[in-house]
Amino acid sequence: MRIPCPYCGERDGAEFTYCGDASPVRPAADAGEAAFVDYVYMRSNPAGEISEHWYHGQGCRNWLIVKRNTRTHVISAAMLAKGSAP
Amino acid sequence: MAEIIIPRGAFELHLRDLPPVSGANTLKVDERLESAMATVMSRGDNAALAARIHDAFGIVLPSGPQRVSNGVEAFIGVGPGVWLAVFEKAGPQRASKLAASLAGLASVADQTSAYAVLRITGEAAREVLSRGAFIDFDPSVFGPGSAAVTTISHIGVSIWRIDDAPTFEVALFRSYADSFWHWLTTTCTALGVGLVRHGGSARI
Amino acid sequence: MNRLESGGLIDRGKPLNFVFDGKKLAGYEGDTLASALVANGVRLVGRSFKYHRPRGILTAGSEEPNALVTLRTGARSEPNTRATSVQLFEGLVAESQNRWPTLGFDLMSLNNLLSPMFTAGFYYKTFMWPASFWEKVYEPLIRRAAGLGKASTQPDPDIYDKAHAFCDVLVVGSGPAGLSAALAASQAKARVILVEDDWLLGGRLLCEDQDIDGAPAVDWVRRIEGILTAMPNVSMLRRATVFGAYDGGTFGAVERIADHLAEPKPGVPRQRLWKICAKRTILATGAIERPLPFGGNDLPGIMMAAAVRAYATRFAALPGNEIVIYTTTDSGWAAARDLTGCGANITAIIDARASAPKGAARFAASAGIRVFENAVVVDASGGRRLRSLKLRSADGKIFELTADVLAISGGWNPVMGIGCNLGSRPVWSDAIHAFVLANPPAGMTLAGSAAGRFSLAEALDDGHRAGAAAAADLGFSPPPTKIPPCSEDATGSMPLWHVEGAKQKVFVDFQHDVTDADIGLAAQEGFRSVEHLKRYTTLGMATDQGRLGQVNGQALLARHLGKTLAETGTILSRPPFLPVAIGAFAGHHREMNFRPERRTASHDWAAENGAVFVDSGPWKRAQWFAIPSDQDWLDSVTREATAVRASVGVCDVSTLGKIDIHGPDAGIFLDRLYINMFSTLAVGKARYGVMLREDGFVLDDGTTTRLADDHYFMTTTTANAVKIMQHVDYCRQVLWPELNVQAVSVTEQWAQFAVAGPNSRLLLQKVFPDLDLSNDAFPYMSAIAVTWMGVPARIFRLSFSGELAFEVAVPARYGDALVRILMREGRDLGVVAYGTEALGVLRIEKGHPAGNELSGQTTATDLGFGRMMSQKKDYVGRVLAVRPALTDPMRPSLVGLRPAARSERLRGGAHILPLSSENRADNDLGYVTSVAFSPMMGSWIGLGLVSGGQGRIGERLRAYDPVRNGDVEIEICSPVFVDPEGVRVRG
Repeated sequence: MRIPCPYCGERDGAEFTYCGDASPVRPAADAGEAAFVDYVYMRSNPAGEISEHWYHGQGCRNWLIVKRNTRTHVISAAMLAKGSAP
Repeated sequence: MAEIIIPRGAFELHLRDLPPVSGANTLKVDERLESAMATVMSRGDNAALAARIHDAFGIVLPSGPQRVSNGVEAFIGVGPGVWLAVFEKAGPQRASKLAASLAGLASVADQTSAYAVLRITGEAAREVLSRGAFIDFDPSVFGPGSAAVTTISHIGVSIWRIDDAPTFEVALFRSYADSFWHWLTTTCTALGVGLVRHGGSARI
Repeated sequence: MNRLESGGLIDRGKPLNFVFDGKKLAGYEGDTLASALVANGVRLVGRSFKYHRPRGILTAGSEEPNALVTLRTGARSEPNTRATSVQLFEGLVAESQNRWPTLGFDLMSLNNLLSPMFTAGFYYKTFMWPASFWEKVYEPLIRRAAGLGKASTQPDPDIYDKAHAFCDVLVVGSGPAGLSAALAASQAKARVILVEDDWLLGGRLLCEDQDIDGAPAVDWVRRIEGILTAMPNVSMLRRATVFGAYDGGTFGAVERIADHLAEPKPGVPRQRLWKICAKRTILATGAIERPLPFGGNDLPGIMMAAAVRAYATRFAALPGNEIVIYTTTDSGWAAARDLTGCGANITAIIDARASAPKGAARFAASAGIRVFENAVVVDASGGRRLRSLKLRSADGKIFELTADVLAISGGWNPVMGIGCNLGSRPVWSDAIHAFVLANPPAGMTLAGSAAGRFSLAEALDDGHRAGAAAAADLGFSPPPTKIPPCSEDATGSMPLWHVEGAKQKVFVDFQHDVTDADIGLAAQEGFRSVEHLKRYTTLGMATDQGRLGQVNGQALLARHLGKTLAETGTILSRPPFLPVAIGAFAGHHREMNFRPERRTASHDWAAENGAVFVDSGPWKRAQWFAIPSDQDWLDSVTREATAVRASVGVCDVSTLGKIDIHGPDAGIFLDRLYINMFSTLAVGKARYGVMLREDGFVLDDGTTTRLADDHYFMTTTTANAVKIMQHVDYCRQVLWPELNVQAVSVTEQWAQFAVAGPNSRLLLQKVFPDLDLSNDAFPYMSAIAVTWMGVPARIFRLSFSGELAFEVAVPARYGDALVRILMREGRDLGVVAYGTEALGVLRIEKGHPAGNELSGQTTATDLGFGRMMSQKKDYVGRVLAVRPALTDPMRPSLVGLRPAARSERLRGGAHILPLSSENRADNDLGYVTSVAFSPMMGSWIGLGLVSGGQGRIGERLRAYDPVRNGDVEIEICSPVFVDPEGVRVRG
């Protein structure tokens, strides 16, 4: 597969590490246990577009948000996670 | 103690065994031991950092994966707000001097010993590198000044192209040098390319 | 000999000798093994999988299901090689397969008589019970009876290579459509890669007597090849197969560099694996002819019409002297014309269609060929070769013909395998009676026969249009080009799936011996889906992956179900298109180069001093240093550990992960990573820290030093170095991008050595004479950056051994120099080099957790670090670490263990059970995580995770190890065996 790294350009998927759903946001420090349980364990499993974290560890070492279609594997966008909302 | 300590090249023993003469279909290789290297990481104000670097070195700091050199110093983009600085013929304290001159604008980590840098020159260089790296080295895509961080044979590498010879430099963590050498020699043998030691110093 | 005196693309000036089943034969350069066998009159080449029926060569391409041989001998022998794809070379040795004792007389052909037993689902139905029979009885029996070739058990002597390529347009196949496409795209200046399976470009044009541009098609092929070769923007891979399409326009291909040689030249790979990244792809992979159904349709001598045509025209070899053609297609007639042109003796043409194509009667009359229209072949007979066949005309009349070759043509299946790899599903076309890929994946176009446009003119036109369109799509400007005129080429056909009244078995899948009756039985038993049909009957599961029989079988299923092929559909194919040797995927990664390894700066020095190395992740670390007086490894380790406690030792600890953390917010950032505080750490001081995962379990531990207000130096365990770098990047880029923090790995920059033992200060003082390393000036957990002989160096007062100890770091280029100086200067102190085993002994004696205890299942409290968990700040894992299950006092926690009888040995991994209890999981109290022979205690000691740990100190339990028959009574004790007051470390 090819992932269009916003810094390095399009690269082979082997340079990246898949790091799961990008949408959960770490709760505030005082949000309580239930919020953290949701954050750590609960994931949706959409058939269609999903925002995922991929780490370009063998490239620019950036965490990316990659929009991927789970049905077709088509990647429609990739951006730096820093400064982007999932 | 009245002794001096000498730096040890990661490829030293391998390069020692290479013939010094170049012939047809050969690739010249050399380890860059006289340069200092550092990771330069912007603290946020990239414009101010670029200005400081331009004042100090006359270098326009690249915003993407490129190498910009003034003939002695070079900055190579390896990530957003991150550069590898390579200083020719520089002493072991060069990185701390750089850190002082960029204080407040960038964090600097000395990497002079971390990377072993192989300079590779010759017609076959592109083909040899493309055997290992899944990077398009076509001159229309990867001309002089282009740079890429990627892998060769499962080893992380930074590659940049210096000139039209073509000359490339490949930087890798020094602990991987022996495994990388194995890849390089088997690949060259498979292509019928001979490895020779660099004669004089190449143009920077 | 069946070789023609002239014609063909063989070089009669270059004869080649080869051996088949021990018999010496000869062919010519330009032959395949199959064409040479045909030329030598060899009919019988193998036995089928299940019934061991005699089989001959059926095709002339990579779809061959029958002519599978074991090629070469010894370490290079390779089973299941298709004789039709092997380029003949001098000295080639091939053996037929699946026969015993000989090909001519095969005892297992008895299966043929027992065939009522071997029906669809035979394995599922027969070998049901008892279950214990599977491994010992059934499986070996089935394997012996049904195996194809045998793999060599010797190591592969060849080398394999990997390569990458990028292009604008990838063209797969170099027949008329492929050449035309490559030409159009490359003339538009696009970067083109053309991949051809054969060693010659041309595809079908090599095998048919066609004209292009007023000259023989082969001349046109050579001309285009010349043009493409001269273009710098075109690369050609011959003897290469694109075996799979992957996401994002990447393709896998294997190039057979040396398979056409007896053995590769030294240093030259046998095969090369290509990863190709293409912006556009044109599949010009042609089509494969369909067999026809009749009884005994697998007899040697029955061949595909296109194959007979190929053997005659390309290889100048005639498979027989009395040829009958049985066709439902116009291409069957074209084959007849080419064969007649080569001087073959065709006695009859049977066309199952109501009438033969236009002009057929005149051709047949002039060639003296008998024609049967509207007639079907019912049965073929002969023993180990075809002798006669029985046909039935529309009015029911039966005719019998003698023949030694029956060339069959039942229509064409476009080859679109890799087009389906990404999930595009073929659809049935009633217009051409074949499945076509109507919706290929984005960026891919099919051209010519692969797209179901079977005539030569269509192929040339299609290829050109596809090539020009692909280039134009990418912004290139294709120049106007004239498509060359060519010979006419009728493509009419009629599908024929079934024949009534056959007396013998009608084969659908030749290699797996699936018959029409098997399909019928599967339908009768309720199988409705083509995917289930495939698995139940094994239709299409042989090495040819159903390229010949799949559609015929699916049509039979549809017929039984009263449905159309459009309704039942066909299966999708997965990579690889053809079998690819595992060696090609491995490349040079085998034996000691299986994966890259990392060597520390002291590696050569260690090797010179007797180091035995151990893999620690990718690193090679010295495990111990053997000296001649050591009896065994335990001697070495005990000697090293004893010397550290008694005087001083040196150990390379460079493999620990080292991360530079910079920036104004570095302190706050570390507070959020670690359970304890780092923002309060003074410059020049180090602190031990523990990190959790967000789920509350321990992630890693290590020492972090503050080198400046805005600069910390973090260390991680060796095993987790990469993971922690990724975690640090996650925390600063994703979790807290607002913090002004920079981080980079400096693991490789510093060679770092532990100098440990009561004499460590003396030794360091000799190497750094200007420094004040006294307790007052440089107390425990201090750090200092200095210049040592002109290079930057760092000294830390840290201890993993519990002794007075330091760590010294210099740039890795000087690591070799430093370790040699340390050892030289320490000689009169009795300094030893110690490895990871002694390091382990020392840390177990001190109860320090390491990898075995940081298992991902332990909490900070389990490991005795509960009090470090700060209440004053938020950090990763804080909230979930205090969940009830993670704070249960009966959780297994860290304790020390000693054997009750001091002479007994402990084993890591042993389970801890109450003294008098059954050996059952529900009695399990925990397990032994680490063990060592402690020179200080004079016995084996261990660490373990035991339920209710600290509360059991003094208790007697047992360490039960069923794997190594161990059952040792143990005493639970404090994990700190040596110097529990911590006096030595501050000495």
